Amino acid sequence: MGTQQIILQKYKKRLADIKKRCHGTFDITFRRLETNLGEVTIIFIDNMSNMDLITEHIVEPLITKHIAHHDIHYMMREIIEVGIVEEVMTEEDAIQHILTGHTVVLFSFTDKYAYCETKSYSGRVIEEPMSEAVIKGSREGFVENLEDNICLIRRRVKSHKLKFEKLSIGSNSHTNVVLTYLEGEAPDQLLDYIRQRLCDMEVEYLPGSYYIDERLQEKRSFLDTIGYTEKPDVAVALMTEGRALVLADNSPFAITAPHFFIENFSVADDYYLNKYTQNYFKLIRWTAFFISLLLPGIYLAIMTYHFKLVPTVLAFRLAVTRAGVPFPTVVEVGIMMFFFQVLREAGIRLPRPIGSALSIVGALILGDAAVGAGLTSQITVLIIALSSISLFLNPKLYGGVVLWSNIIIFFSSVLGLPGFYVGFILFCSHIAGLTSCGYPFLYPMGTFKKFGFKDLLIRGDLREVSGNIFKRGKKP
Amino acid sequence: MRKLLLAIIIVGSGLLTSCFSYKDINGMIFITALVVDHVDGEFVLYAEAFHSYRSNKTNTEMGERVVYASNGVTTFDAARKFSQKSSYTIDYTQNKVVIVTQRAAEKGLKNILDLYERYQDALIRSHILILEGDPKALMEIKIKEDEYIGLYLYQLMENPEIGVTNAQDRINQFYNARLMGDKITVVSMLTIRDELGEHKLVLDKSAILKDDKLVQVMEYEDILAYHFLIDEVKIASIAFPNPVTNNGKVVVDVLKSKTKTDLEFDGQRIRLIKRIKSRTKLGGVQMPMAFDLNTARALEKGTNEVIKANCEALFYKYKDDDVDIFDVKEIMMRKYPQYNIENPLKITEIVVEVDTNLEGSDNITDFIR
Repeated sequence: MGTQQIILQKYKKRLADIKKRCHGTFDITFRRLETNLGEVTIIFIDNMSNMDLITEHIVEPLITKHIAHHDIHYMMREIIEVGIVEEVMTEEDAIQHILTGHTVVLFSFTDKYAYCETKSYSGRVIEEPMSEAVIKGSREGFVENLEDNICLIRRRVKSHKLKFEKLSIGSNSHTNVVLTYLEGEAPDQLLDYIRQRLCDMEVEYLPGSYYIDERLQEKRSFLDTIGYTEKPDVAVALMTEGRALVLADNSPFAITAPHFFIENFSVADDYYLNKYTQNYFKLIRWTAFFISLLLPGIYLAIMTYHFKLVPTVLAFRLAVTRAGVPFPTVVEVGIMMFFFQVLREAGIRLPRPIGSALSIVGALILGDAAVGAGLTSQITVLIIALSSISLFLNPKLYGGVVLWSNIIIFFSSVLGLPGFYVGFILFCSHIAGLTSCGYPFLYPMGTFKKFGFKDLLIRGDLREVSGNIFKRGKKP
Repeated sequence: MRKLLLAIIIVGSGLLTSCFSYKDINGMIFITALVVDHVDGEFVLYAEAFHSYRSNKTNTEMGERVVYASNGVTTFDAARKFSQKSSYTIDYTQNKVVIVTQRAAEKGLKNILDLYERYQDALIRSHILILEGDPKALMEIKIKEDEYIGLYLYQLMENPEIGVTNAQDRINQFYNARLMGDKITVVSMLTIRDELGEHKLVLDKSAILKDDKLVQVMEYEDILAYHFLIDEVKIASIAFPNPVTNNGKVVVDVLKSKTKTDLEFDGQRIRLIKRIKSRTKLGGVQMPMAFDLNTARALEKGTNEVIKANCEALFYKYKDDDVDIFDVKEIMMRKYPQYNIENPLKITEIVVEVDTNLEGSDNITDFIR
């Protein structure tokens, strides 16, 4: 058997193997072409590839041009007219390239084969992120396309220090994940930690970044010790402070690490608008956090154990408003909190037009019907409503605060104010014991001397607060 | 280890329920005023209370004033009997005032206050008053300013314009004062008066108690001088003959006053020195007069003389009665602990130095009339 015969057999076998592995997927296209040297097959997924590019720059040159050599490099250099063309080393790689949207070219006259970068997805356009809307800042938000997200970051940092380390996670999904950081700003130990955690991930499929998020969390907690952002400007700001980002394909969020407790109180507008007014609003967010966490507990403790702390006129008023309620106050508070959570869940899951109608019905139920039905008193509605509205001021703390608020309510109902203090101390101890990628979660509280963070309860001038947080004393 | 700690905290928390337990606020009857009388060897307690309930007639939640009366051999015994007549638990945490009738006060407050000393939930920041009159009439009285006598009296006592209340009008202050020096306390006295067809509760006298027993009643005229001497002046008006026109009277308003007390003992006599410094303004005059610097100086001098005279007269009055309302014994014990004089008031002379500053000018600064 001559060499050409062997190459032809290899070609046929390779083609058959690929067809076999791609069996059952209707959208993979196998296009046979006849060239002057023999048969060529191009394989691509038509809904993930740029058809114009394939037609004009792969198919047409192969058919019309005279192929003078059997050499694959000659083909890549002279015949195929696509920007990125590289040799494929294994059959497994070939499959991956096809599934990514690339076009794989198999030649019957050479035993090597190549892929051309032709992917083109229809994806969401870049738009303002819903969860981090701003008044004055950038309107751009991350999208599901990883390349677009990288572009959004690159546009903001035109520096050779900006690094993107690509990894493939998921033994079956082969999802692209990119570790992003500014070289020299992010501590090596942080990068090593994240790299190791990413490499240790043993998952078959990675549909989104939340798998990574969970993997990077160190301890079981209601509070997230890993941050996220939908805004590239925020992501870049965090990188300049020394943090690292993890971007995953198909996820419109960038994971930020390390993530500290006080970051939950910052919004992008804090850095875009007048610092004095924003400092005021930041204090309101802190106050809202304490209201949402502590108010139901302290209300319960005072209403059921320590009447003497209530001014007389208010005590009488409270007694009158509760006069028709058949349940103990703790049950009443529990019912109202449950109502509110049901309403919130329903509001989130439903489409927006129905959601607004639901909120009206919910407000009626909570505000009036529940009181009228004798299920609750007006003051409890007020307390739970205030506490619940306060939750929305710090959305990233929502779940954790709701659950911790319930824990404090439990202790308050058992012990009154001493129980309330026990609950609050447990909460403080818990967050003080958490770490984020090895850094104390409560930072910079209690660790002020170790870190150079200047953006605590209130922010200073942008020049002062925008330095690297891991390098104390470093001038921006 | 962590789970063990958590278990200890939770189990330990359950054991911490010491002096209080879970109660719903609508399941309580809040006492607002407590009146204590002593009749035929028994204590009679009257309580005014707030009771909340849901009316099935109007289908609304309501709060209502309820009154209780009971008697017993001790105040505790009488208080316990309230429970026999109430649907909910009686709660003393919102009590504003403890009113002791004059006859009960004459027998002594020690046994009465025993209830407050022993009952943990009772607030010792409540006011204490001595009632001149019938306690039943007090409980039946309808005051237009407030539905509750307790709340009304609380507001009355807290009113900075009232000027006649005393430093020992709260139970906690009374507890301290009753054990100090000559064990004399001065508390305000409540009187029921009829004015223009309406019942009024008036505070214009003070009760003097020695060893917790009522010994004397200080009239309204003496209270101001007493307050000057013990540095308790909040607001006051002093009327005296006009030293400028020599006819009619002039009224000076005391805006602020500070009294510094010193005591000197030479081995024979005690000199109680009171240095009174006050800021005043002209309140009114009966006859027209030109107000200038000379007039101001003359009014200041007149004010000084009146305050001095009233204070000295009051001191000697109570010295003669041997009632040490000026805490001479206490001050003496603190300053000269080495001397043990049985009755220092007897050998005490008072020196009153008054320095009044009359503020104001003859310029009219506004025309709002």
